[in-house]
Amino acid sequence: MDPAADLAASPQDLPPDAGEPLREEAAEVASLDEALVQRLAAQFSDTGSPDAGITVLRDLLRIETRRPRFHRLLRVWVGKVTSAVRAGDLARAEAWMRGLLVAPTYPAEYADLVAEAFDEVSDPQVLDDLVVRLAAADPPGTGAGLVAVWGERLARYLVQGMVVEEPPVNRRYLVEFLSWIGRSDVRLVAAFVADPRWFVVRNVAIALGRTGRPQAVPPLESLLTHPDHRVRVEAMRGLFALRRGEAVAPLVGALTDPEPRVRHAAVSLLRASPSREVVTALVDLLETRPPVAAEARRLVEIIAERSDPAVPAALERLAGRRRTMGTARVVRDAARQALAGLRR
Amino acid sequence: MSELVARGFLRALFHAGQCLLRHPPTHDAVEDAITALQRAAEVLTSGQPEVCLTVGKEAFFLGPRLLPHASIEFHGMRRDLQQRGIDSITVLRGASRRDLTDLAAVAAGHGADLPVGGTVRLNERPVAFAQLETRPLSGLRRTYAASLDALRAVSSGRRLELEKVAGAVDGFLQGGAADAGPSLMLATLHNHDEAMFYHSVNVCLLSLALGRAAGLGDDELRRLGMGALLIDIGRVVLDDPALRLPGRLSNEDWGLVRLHPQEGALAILAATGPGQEIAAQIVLEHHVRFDGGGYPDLEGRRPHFFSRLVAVADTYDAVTGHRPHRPARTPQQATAILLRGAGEAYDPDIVEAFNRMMGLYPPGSLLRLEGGEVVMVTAAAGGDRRAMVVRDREGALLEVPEPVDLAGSRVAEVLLPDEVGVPPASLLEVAEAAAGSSPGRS
Repeated sequence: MDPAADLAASPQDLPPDAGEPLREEAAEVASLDEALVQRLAAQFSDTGSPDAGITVLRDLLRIETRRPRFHRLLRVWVGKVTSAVRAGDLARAEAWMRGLLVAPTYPAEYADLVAEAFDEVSDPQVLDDLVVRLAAADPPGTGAGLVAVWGERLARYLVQGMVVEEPPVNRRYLVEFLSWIGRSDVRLVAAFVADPRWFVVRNVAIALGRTGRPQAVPPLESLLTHPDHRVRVEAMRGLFALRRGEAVAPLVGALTDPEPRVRHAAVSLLRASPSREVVTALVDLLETRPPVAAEARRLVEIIAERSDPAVPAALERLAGRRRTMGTARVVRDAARQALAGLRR
Repeated sequence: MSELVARGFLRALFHAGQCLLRHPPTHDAVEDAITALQRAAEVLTSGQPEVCLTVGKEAFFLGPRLLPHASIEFHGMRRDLQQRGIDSITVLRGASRRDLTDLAAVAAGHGADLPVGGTVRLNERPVAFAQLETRPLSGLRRTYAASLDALRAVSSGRRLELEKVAGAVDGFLQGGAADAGPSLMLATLHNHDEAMFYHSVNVCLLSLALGRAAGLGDDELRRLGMGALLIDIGRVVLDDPALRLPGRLSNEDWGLVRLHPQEGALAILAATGPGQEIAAQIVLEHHVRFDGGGYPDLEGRRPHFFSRLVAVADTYDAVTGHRPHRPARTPQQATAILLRGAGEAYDPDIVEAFNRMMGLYPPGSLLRLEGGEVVMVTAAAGGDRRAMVVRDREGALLEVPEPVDLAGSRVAEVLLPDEVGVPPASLLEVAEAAAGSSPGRS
């Protein structure tokens, strides 16, 4: 209602008591009764909330039809995000990011301007600042939401950070932040499993393992046959973490890996695995494709250590093998020794 | 000689100075402005050989008499003159065009002296400082002037300096603006040439008073005040002359007017930091109706409480101010408009709170009593509604208004300031002194 348009008001609208004596109540300064004050107080909430700015942003994104003005609005948005990052106010930065990018209110025809703005706010200098703030944040994990909403552009920056000689923060932070992105969208991290640099792929495998998402399992499984053993080790660990130790088959498969460090890692993980499948799988391996003698003996020890009711029967099965030679004999003898230990 | 005449001269001087800043001396606009200044000088010196305007530290004086209104309206010019060591302007009857042109140049900042022996002289002060009416200006009035300056700076500099705006709001709060009485008197100021700026300051004063009555704390009032002071800043940003004048608008102009909330909101969003962005929301929403109509379209979202509050203050001040296409209305007519719109255009609780705060005859109301005298309702103290007689039963203007108790009085008519010839805000200091309270004085 624009006051200039209040033409309906009659110029004859005088107060009904004009000419009457000033009533006592009119002569007193009017005060608000308690009920009215309470109704008013109930209507105004925390007026210091950052939501006001986001509310205005989203309204303006929706209603602004002039391209130059829309562009100006996005410049303001860039300023808000970058100043929040620089001030270390990660919650506020996240609020501004979400205000633009989540459930967007802007018309599709301005998507190019939004992409431009997003590129601008993803400037390496801004992201350098961001990762430093994230690494220093207390408690650890603060800013995970911001990282997740930043998404692909940040993921690319983090991967690039693993390559440079002196990243702004320790690379372990870059890996951790990458896993935060993966928690929101595994695909953004999985996109890097084909990177030609082994150390990148290794870090990506670590990040995938930390996402906690079942969608990360297929890309990790694809890395079990990676040419570099360090990648294979982290892929195993990642799968172990994602499946909470139930990923027995890949671990057993790794026991015949040509690289000893892979085999050792597999042994450690199997030892830590709570799965009931471990005993069966190891017995099967020892009977059909036993590794070298020393490792075979260790596998028998692993079986014997487990608090699994199937263990005695498994050991008896291995101990009862006849006419054995070489590694098979080592397995049989180790099993008999383990059984004797159990009976003592 | 009335303050109106002195204000007329100062206005003409200010305008001429501004023209000299914007145009070459031979430009038509400058010629017209100097002609207007000459006419104002003739009126000023009518019946007297010379008139002295003293440029004080806080105010202008006409002879010994304090000019409170002019001190607000030309606060910036006064300050500039003072800072350049000019403490008086003496205008002789028949002042020449050339000398007045030189004076306008001084007012515009070019030089600080005039030729000796001319018809306009600087720093020849026939009125000693000791003779000046040293009634101190209300802190509220000084802050009002500073607020106008802050808004003018946006207009001239094309830049929103938020610290100045925040400083003005703080000045109002410290000066007692959140107490209804003095604020409501001061909020009766209107000015045709800078209608938008005066309107914005009035809306700020009204909003702060209403906000305090509604129970808002200082921090909340600060944010509310900032948004209220900036409600029409979008019109400055749009920078279309048609939007600065509160006249009838064409359809095309209306299309532009409807953009000013989003323009203002964008400007404020760009300038504000955390905690201040509510001002942008107020500016964006102040023309959205309680029932969801108005502009811009919020898609059903109810405007923020502060926005609804400012909308009421905005309407009240707009209705009680002059428009070229209609005269000002009385406070009573304005509150009737708000009541008719309660629940549709306006939040009914806020309208109720506003009307209770204002009372039937808010401070600044001019009433003709049945006995014939004209009184102005002044800032209330202790719950009693006091007034001052400004014209006696014969209609003569009182040089010094007399306090009066309205108990038992009968009101014959509600008058407008122009009908009485007394701007209510000009009596702010007198009313404060009579009430025994003087908030915000230095």
